[in-house]
Amino acid sequence: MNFRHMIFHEWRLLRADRSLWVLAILTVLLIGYGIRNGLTWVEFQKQTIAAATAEQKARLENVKEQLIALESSNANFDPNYFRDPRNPRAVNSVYGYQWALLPPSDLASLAIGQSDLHPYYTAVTASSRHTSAQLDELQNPLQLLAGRFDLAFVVVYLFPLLVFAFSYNMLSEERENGTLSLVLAQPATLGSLLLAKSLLRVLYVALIAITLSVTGFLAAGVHWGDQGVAFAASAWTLTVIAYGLVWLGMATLVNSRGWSSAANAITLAGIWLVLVAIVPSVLNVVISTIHPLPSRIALVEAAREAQSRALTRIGQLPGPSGSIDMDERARSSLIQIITAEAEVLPVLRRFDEQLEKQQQQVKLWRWISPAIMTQLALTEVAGTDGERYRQFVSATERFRARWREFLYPIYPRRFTSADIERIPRFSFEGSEHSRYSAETAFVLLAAYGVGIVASLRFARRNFT
Amino acid sequence: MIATIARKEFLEMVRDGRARAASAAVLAMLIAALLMGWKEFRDVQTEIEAAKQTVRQQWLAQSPKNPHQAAHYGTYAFKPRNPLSLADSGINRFTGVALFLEPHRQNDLRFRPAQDATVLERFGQMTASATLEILLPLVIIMITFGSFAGEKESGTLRQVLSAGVQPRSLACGKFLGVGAALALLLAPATVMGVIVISPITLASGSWDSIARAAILSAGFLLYLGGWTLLCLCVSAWASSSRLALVILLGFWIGNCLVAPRAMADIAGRFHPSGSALESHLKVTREAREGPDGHNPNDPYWRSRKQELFKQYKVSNVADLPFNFDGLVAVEAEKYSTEVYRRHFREIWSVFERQDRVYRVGGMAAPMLAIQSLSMGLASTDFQQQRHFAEAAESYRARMALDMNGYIMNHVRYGDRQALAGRDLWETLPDFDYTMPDVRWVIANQRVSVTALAAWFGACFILAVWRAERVRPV
Repeated sequence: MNFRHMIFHEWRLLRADRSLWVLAILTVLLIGYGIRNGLTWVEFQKQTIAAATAEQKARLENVKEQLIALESSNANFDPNYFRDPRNPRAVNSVYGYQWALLPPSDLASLAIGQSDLHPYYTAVTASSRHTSAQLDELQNPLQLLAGRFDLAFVVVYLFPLLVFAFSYNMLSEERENGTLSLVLAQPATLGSLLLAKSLLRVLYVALIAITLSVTGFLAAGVHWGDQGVAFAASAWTLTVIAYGLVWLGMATLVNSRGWSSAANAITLAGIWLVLVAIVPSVLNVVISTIHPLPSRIALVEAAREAQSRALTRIGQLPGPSGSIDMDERARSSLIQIITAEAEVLPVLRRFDEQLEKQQQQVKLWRWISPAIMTQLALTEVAGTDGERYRQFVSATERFRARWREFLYPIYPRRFTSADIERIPRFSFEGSEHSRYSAETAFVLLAAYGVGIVASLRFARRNFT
Repeated sequence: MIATIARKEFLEMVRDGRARAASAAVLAMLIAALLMGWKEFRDVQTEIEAAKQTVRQQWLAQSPKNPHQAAHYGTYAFKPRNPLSLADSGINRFTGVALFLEPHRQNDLRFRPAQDATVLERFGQMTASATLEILLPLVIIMITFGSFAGEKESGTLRQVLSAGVQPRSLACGKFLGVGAALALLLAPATVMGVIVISPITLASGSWDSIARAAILSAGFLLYLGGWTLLCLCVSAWASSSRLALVILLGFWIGNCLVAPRAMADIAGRFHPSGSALESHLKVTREAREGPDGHNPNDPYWRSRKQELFKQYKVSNVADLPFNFDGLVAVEAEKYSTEVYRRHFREIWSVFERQDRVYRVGGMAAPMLAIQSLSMGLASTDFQQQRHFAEAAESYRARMALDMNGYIMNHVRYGDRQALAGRDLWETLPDFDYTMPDVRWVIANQRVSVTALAAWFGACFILAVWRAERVRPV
């Protein structure tokens, strides 16, 4: 019986198993649901970004008209009136601020990752990021806790179960049915039989992975012409295939031990439970305990201390409708902001260092579970792992500096309609990498290879 | 008879190497989760206490200044923790830790720990509650999936039944045997829990924590008892132990992994939260449509001045029996407070409606019910958050009123250089918040408690019904 016959025969066996068809339909439904959820979220983000852009445009046009009207009528200017667009401080916080916008990347609907936690739009004013209020999306914290049912969830949690469903009894079923000895009585070695069965299942895994990936890409409306998109899409697909294969490798290895089908099922279920359901959440608790997140409360206290000290040094600003010179008032408030920030900088730097340390720990420990590796890789490719967000925050800070450079010189005088034209504009180009997905795919494929080799050796010992 | 059966089942489970290993692992995780939760609770509690002292000192140590400026310096309120939160961190990682209280606007809590966290955060936290909700049912499945089906396959069921044992006694005995094994497993964890909670409870001097722990234990008894009965029922019904295992694992995946995500999503579809941007733009626009609290020359105040002149029968603003600038600040604050309260009420009521849908889902997936009950008792659910935020908001309104009111009543009109000092700062008491007690929690968790009782009842009925019909083939 040659190799091709064995594969063909194996395919007919799998095709005849009705329970696998039921499972296939269920999987399709779940994949559809996952893709739909991801799309809903990304659509919502895009709509919000469009609304912010429209609001900004309308607001700036409105302000320009108001300024022209005020300038031509030469209305009285009271520097303490905060609803006058000629007041630079009002321009900062009410009239002229820009939205910094983080558009979702092409593959963002496939893995929601951290993107529902990180704000994707911020109003950039002259105030520091750490003391101004952040606009978080309106999400029930319970939903944030439960997590999202996106395609990445289906891949990381449910794909392994599907793989187990058609491979847990690869060899054990043949032995229990009594057909194994018949097959081996043909001129067929156990090794070639195992390889034939494995190869067919590899094709199945690849087929499922490619189908769900391509469906995701099509549903997301990926622009294939964009730079790096084709590469990201291939990285995603390869990671999913490699992830499926590593579980197939485990199933093959367990089969080669020669236990019964039921024992195989229990063992594989146990491995899945440990690696997918238990290890990541336990690791989360352990890392949070050993390397706790730096305290935001300490940061807040330090910022307020700095603010008090700055206030004391400069002297108090008078109450509303102060009759003090506008120049001096503007200068004082500027000095106050800048001094306070300079004081807080060391605390901020320590804070960022501690954050970075925690991130590094997770990157280090991700190797203990394929689920962690793959989640990291998939969210990296989709641009939702936090890396893109950090780039966005840096871009926002650079823009904040430009905004201050633009606005502060105007503080001592009035804001004019000519100034509106010069307002700096925010733009952001994120760059995705696929480093983790490349590493992950490589490691998982290598693990699969090792698993197959080990299976062949065990099988020879346990089945003959 | 039942006792004999129970003892046999118990011994069988205790001697099963796999079951012992799995149970030991779960026990280790439970104890580790309790210890780590306790450490986190202690650390956060210490930090919050220190922070409360610091912000209070910062408030009192403000140099003499205009009271309105003092209000703008503002203060922070920190959400306290309940000792039982060591067992269930709930939504704490996804909600802010500090609330900035300032005039003219109401803020939301800032600094969500999860925003700073890594990708692991979305895998959840294996807290003590999560271990009991997710992992212990697995242990139960493992030790009971073969209880009837396995006996059928090995032929011992026929022997037992032919010996004249009633199926009902058999089922009862098996249930008690499993219960005894689980009790053995959970005993060390319970002792640990008591050791950890006691010093905290004794320090606070109230029975609240004990009551909460007791109710939570009762909830878990219903949850896990229901699981045991369900497993026995499926084992009695299934034709093979493998089928029983597949069904039970399938139910476990649906209940523990899929249901929370799916139900949270469904709740969001029933009651959409809406866009934060839209909401923010709306509330800032509404607030700005109101009178400007910093500018007494605003047109609104001109007409208000006329009203007051008529009311107090004076013709000059300086003749009013209070400082008009102070009145401006007070009334503007009242307006903006109302606008923001409406805004937050809308948002929060949507969240609460979503939570209710989630809890109703507990009728189908008991994990949702026990999770809600656990979070409620640990004071780590949204209702607790709302209660705190509303209390902080009342304090904020009072702070603004006290400061602006001082200008209105004690500063002469036109005196721009008037300063107030520590005497005024001290008249505002510290923000003293006490969490509502366990009765409030239970009143909010009626649906979850009902769902758990219904779950146990349904499993009991199913188990009894199936056990009656058990056949040796």
